[in-house]
Amino acid sequence: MQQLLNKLANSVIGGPDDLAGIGEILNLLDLLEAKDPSFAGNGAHLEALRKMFNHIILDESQDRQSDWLAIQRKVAELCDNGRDQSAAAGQPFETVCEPADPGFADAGEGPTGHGATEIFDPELVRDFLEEARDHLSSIEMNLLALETDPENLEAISAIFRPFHSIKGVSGFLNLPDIHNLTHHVENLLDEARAGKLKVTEQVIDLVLEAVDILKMLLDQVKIALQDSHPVQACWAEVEAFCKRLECLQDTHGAAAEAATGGGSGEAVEPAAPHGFPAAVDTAGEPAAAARGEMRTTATPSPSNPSKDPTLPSRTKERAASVRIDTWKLDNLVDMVGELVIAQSMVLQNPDLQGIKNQKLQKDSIQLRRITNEMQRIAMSMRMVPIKNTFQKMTRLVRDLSRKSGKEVALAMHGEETEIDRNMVEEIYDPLVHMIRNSIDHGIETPEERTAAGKNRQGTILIAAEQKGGNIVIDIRDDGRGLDTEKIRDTAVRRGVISGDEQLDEKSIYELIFHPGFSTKDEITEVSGRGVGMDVVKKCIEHLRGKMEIFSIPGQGTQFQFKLPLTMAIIDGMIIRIGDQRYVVPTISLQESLRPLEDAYVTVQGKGELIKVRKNLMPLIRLHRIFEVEPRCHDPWEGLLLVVNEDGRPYCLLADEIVGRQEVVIKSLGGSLGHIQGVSGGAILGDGRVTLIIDVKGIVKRYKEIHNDISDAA
Amino acid sequence: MAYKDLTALVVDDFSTMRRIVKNILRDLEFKNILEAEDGMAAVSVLKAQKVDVIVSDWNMPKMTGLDLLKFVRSDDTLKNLPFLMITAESQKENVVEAVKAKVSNYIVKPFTAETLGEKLAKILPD
Repeated sequence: MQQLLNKLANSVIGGPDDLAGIGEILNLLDLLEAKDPSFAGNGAHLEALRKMFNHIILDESQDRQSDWLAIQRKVAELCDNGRDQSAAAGQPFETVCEPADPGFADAGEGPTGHGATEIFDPELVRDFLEEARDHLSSIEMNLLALETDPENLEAISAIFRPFHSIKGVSGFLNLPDIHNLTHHVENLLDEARAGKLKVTEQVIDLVLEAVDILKMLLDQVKIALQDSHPVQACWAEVEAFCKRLECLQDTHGAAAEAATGGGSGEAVEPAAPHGFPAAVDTAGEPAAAARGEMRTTATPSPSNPSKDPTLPSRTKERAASVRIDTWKLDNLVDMVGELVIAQSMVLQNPDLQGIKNQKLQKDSIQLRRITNEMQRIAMSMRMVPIKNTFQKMTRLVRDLSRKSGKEVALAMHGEETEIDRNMVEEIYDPLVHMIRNSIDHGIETPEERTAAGKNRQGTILIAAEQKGGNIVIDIRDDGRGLDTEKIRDTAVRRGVISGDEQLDEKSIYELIFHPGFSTKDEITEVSGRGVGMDVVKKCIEHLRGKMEIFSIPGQGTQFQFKLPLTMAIIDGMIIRIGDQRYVVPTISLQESLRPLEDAYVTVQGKGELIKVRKNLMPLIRLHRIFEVEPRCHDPWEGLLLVVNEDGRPYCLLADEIVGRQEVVIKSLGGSLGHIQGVSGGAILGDGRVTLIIDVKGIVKRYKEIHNDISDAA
Repeated sequence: MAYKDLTALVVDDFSTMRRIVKNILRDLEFKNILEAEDGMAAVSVLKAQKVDVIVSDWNMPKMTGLDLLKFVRSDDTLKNLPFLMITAESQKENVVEAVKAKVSNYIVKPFTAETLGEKLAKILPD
């Protein structure tokens, strides 16, 4: 005890700025009090001293010097009193305290009174927007985790923290609306963290709404940044929302008090949702599409996604990552592509190949190895895990299942699968449509499910997997499956097909992707009016992908997208027609064959057909479409490429297959951009330019020509 | 010692915040500025190299600023390291706790470059 007092007596040296010294004293005071509760007479004096110290610490005192003197006096007296063990009441202490009190009256002043600094650095703001978006998605994830386990303190903290960070930075960047909103949400969460507020569905809904508003506010900042005009203030909206937050806090606080007072602890309905325009609901917007930057992870992303959704899953997988502008990356990839081509042009140069020098050959192999590796790395830099896109679906499923009154769980598989970032943005919309469709048309109501002996809760599984140069995305539900009869009837009614047309199951399934097709009798809020499914198809085709549908009545439906890993490179077969070469995307090819002479038939009104294993397929003469002179006019001399388009097989006639190669896709430029049957150009190893064939366009072109012919006939 | 010879460690989980602090430090003529995204990362930085001053946020995942401070103060080689804690206005009560843990000084968000400069001048040896 004595020792402690001596320490205390010797400690007040450093002055009011010596925070470490003050800390020392505060700790000593704690120790002294713990040793002898009666120390300093009564707790009030000690408390007064602590308050004075806090004033100094928090820089709230008006006259630091005199306050400091008062503290010194008081500490000295404390020491003396302690030494004498006489607890003489200190009248002077009371008066000493007083000068400090005015400081308390305006505790809001102090260092915070300076207001926001004027660091309005556009680049900084841009980074902030990017980072804030990431934070928002982590908030959404954790909110959903919290919903399943409202007591999960860690999840609350994981939600609190990003709000807190956004608040802090928005204060610096002079974004008062964002600051205000996050501040209120933070308060709410703080109460939840402290156990003062029960996390109910309302709370989660409100915070989710706050996320939506934040997204909107961030978008506005982004727009303001682009057009370099001041940020449009949404003060009124934000204020209205904050009022609601406060209302909720108040009612809940009251409820908690009532509960402790023995009353019923039922949550009180918060103020009716009002004040915020519905237009703010940006949840369905592809937030990622707005991004101008991307993140590349130098290390491969860890493939240990936590399987337990209740764990706050803010995986820190970007320890060693840098942010770079997308265009720089795209440029790099382009240049590497050029490098590869330039290399093969050099190495395939006949003069060079004539040189029989072992060293040259060894070196060129080395060069090739390095460029290949570079190409691989450059490509992998554009790859991002599909996880973020998948995770956005969680929110969607939650909202939709609420709206539709169905119970739906979302499962994910293979989220760590990587995909070209440009594609990530493109597959967002199709995924949203597919999931909407599954919830609206696929999954039954809980009652129907129980009656059918199924689990009340339906499940939608989204899975991604890399297969060769493709990524396969599955969307599977365990709903009622596709009703072929109903689809057929509707298609006939809508005039999509004629009543006597015979279609197999697959073709019937594909009808749902016909524009304007919908089997749902009434229009629902969830999946709308049958627009969408044809959009899905267009998107997938635009990505040079393929789609397949599997369905078992009563057990569910599975949609499978098969997409190339990247839009920048295509795996192609190089074919020759006359003296021209073309690239056909391997993904479109089913097989290639040389038919026997008797497999070739001509049918009146249907043109030339090839019979392959009892199937009759239309023959498309590529040389006619491209208007070149072929070497082989007869199919049995040339080579047939079997492709599948709109569920029907076609045979493309070429002279021969030259080889298979990955080619870098080059756009043909504005004036040549929309040539039917050609999707782009590529430069082959020998430096010559070829066209990449767009099978869909070819088939369309063929049909047009064919119709002209049959019309003429 | 001039600031340019000192190594500062900025600890915050929000990279924009780190940049703000770094920019200010750079304006104060700090040349060597290290970054860490939470207390844990800061600890590994501290173990790997010499740092002359830490500017750390309070609220971080994994390891908070307070825990970092406690770690620093309990380490024999680091215990006198100047440590500036950044805290939010709404969490001023934290400051007392930090002071008890022997923080060198603290600063409340949002702050100006001058304030940070003043605070650093207070805690750094001349």
